[in-house]
Amino acid sequence: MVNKIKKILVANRGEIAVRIIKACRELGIPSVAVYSEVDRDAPHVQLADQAVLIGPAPPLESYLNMDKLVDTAKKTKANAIHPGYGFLAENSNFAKRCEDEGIIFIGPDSKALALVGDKIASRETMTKAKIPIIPGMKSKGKDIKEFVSEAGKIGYPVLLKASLGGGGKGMRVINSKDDLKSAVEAGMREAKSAFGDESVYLEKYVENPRHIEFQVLADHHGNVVHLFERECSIQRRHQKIVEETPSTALDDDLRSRMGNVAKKVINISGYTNAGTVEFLLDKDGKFYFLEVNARLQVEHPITELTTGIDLVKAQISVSNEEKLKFKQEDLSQRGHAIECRIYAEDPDNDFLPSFGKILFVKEPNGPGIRNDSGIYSGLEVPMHYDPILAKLITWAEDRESARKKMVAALSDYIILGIRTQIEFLKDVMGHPEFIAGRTQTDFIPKNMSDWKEKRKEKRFLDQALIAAAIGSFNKTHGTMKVVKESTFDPWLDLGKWELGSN
Amino acid sequence: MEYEFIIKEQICKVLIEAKENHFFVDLGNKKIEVESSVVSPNCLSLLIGDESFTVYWAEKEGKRYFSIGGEEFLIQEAEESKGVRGIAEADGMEAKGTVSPPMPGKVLKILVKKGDKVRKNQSLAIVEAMKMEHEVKAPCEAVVKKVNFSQDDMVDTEDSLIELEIPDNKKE
Repeated sequence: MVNKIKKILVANRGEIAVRIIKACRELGIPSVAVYSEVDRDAPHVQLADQAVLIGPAPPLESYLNMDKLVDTAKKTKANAIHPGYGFLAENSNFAKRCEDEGIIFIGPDSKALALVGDKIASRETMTKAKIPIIPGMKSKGKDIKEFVSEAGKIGYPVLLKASLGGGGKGMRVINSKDDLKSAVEAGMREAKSAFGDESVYLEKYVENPRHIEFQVLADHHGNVVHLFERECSIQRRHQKIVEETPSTALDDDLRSRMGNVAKKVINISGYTNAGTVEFLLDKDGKFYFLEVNARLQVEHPITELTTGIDLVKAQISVSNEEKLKFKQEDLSQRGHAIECRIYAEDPDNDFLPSFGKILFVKEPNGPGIRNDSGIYSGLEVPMHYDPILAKLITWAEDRESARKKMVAALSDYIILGIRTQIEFLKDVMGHPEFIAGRTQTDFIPKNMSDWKEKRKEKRFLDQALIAAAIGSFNKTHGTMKVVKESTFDPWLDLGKWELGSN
Repeated sequence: MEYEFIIKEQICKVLIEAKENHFFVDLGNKKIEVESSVVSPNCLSLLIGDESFTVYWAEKEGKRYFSIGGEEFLIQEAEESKGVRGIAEADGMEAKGTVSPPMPGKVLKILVKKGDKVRKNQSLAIVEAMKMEHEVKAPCEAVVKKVNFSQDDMVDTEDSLIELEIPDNKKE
């Protein structure tokens, strides 16, 4: 097989750029990092074979600047671009632009990207192919009469959604006909102000579901496999924070049925490369197709650890037009993997962003611990991008062992100088409901909303205060703090002592 | 020596004296003798009785970060801390009419101008950091007295973003 891909430009930053560049190095493919002015000292810049400044900090002028990226690829003779996740990863215009310029976009082609990116169009395609989707309206509602009759057909509770929606804006749960009119009106106002378009539609509200997704890989020769599920129900502010595989909610039968539907979705979308098919799973074990995430997912490492497949290398191989090296029956899940996302967020300030200079990092390691990181001691974390700093992943032979390993690894993960939610993650891992595997999308609001008040007394407060006092003392006296005057007796000065008391 | 530290908005008084590399620390409710040794620039080892504790620490802008046994602590020395004033002011903030953002970031939008009448919880400005937008809201009914920042400026949590004139009957 002739390698079509000669050099890869990685159009991303942070931990995912590092992850992709490492895969390139292992494959012997030269890589080009791009960076914005504030990312001059970022780790991906240091790791790549070449690194090129592409513009100022705002993403539109750097990581989202298509002209600049294409231009940089040409100048550095990179004939492929890996978009990572976020930024331009699911932008069909960018994929098209690459196609037109003769650059290999490592991902699906622009047509498939456009199809899976359009919510209403993909709902239609899936309905025709008899893929289970959440029952709901086929298009936006015209007047309140239509909403009333549609809601009746769907059955309460229903979920009102904005056509151009995202991030929960314009979204409302409606429990009965009495609430419908005011909810639709409010939802339209909110949609109008958030997206400039007041179109809203109704969907069946799935109560307290699980968020289950299937990893798929499809080559250019018609081969599609799934690499099993990831359970991603634990979210805060619509953002996943913990993922694991296998899911505690799936048995072999349900797993194989969902996996087959995932493959079918990929087939009828004409989709190639790595992708993720998202489902909602309700409490009765019924599942509904939600959408295709047309990219490498943040949480891909847990699939890699349980299947043994390197997804980034697989992506590059597919883009090289090679056939998949394995069939469905060659794949199995081995052991259990959990990922915790480490975000630059301040748990003492409502989990709002925390950025600035990282003073000290000490990372966990050991058997079954993987740390996909984009930080180091001394790095200045900029305020312009996603708050994800690193992903900690543990693997063990079973769920409980992987969970315990995660608790230990989180305890060994030290990041000083900015705030992170590591202690919150540790408490999620230690929560009886998590231990029991009862992970639904309401996990955080239901189990962790009183986290701050209920946090256990810290064990090492005395030691911290002592260390702080020693620090202050040394600052005042210099580190040459030795007091030798015979007149000085700290015992007299401070009164009665209990030696070694703590 | 006596130091006051702020930890989670609580003030803790610590007395400390040293003799050679031994420290004698009075935490108020207990007195502890400690031997301290520097392991590496960000790591020290405390020996209390015969038990050893490994402490990771770092300091920036008067804030000290500690990690001990997987627990994190953020400690400020009282006189160095802007936080003390911040805490003291927090209660009086409504009456004083100074509005600060809840997180540092970039001013995405200023939604009001001098002289505007605002309702309680009305959005005054939007601050953005790490792709997260946060609305800065009016604490009560008021009139905008002064806007101290404009779009694209960087603001910190201690900055007075907007000043409000609060009618007497709305003051608590």
